[in-house]
Amino acid sequence: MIPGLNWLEHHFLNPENGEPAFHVSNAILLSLIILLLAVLARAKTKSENLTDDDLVPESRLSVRNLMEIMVSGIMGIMRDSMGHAAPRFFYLVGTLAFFILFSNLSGLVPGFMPPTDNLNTTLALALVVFAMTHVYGFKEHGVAYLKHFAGPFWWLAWLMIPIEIISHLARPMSLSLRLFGNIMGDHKVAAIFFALVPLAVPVFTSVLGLFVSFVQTFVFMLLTMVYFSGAIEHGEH
Amino acid sequence: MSSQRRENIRLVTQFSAGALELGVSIAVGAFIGVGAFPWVKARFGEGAAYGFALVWFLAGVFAGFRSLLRVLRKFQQEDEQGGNGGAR
Repeated sequence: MIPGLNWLEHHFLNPENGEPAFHVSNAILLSLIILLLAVLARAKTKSENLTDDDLVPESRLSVRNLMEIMVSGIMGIMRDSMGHAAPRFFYLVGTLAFFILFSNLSGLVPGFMPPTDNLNTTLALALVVFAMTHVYGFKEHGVAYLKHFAGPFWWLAWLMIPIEIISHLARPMSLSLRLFGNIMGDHKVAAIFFALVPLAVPVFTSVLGLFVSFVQTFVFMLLTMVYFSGAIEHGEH
Repeated sequence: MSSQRRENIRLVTQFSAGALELGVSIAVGAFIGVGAFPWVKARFGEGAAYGFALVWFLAGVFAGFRSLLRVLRKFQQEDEQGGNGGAR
């Protein structure tokens, strides 16, 4: 628990046992932090009387430079995976990437429980991806999107529909379990090593945690883009 | 990070995701079969219920392998196109 955040932490309680639901309060806190960083980064370019000097990045590390690096990095990854369709999905995938990255990295702060350490958070993120996959599929293909579930031949539809349903249901489960398992495992390992050897060894677990945080964000983003691409593609499965 | 390294990470990620989906698909199929077991048993009998559960389990196995094969087929297509594919 973070001192000074008692109100936020005790405002959201687990209905089963009345304990503070840290994953909810911490998720809200992180969202506010990301929003604040976005507002700070945008502040200088929001003016109506922009000059060329305002558009040139600052020479030192600033909030704006940091956010521009992250946004351009995310966009680069999306363009590599989705090509010209990347800008269309940038807002959703970018938001997911920011939230997951900041959540994972918050676990490196002593005493802070990352929201992605809880299956409820990761499942919520995965369900958003699941729902939006089908929304984009219907927007792109209309009712013909349902043909994706029937397989290549109409006379195999009775067999392919249950199989496709299982495949699609497996996606949010694997997305959520993968992220939850990795972050929870990393957190548990760090806690155990810290309890055993409080000096020097936590440095290595923190480096491992940093690596896992970035990799899991990348994995979630990549699979989200794969699912979206699969929903909007016009080729044969 | 170089583009080739990023590409290799992408390939490993997709392959590992396909492998995880194999296990999860089997679990989902089994869960559906076992979850509907009492209802099917009440309506059609115990034998039908076991058959129903087995069918959904096998459907999960098939769905899992199909997901994995889809990933491998995509790798093969990228390799044949000679664009970004092929882990070095």
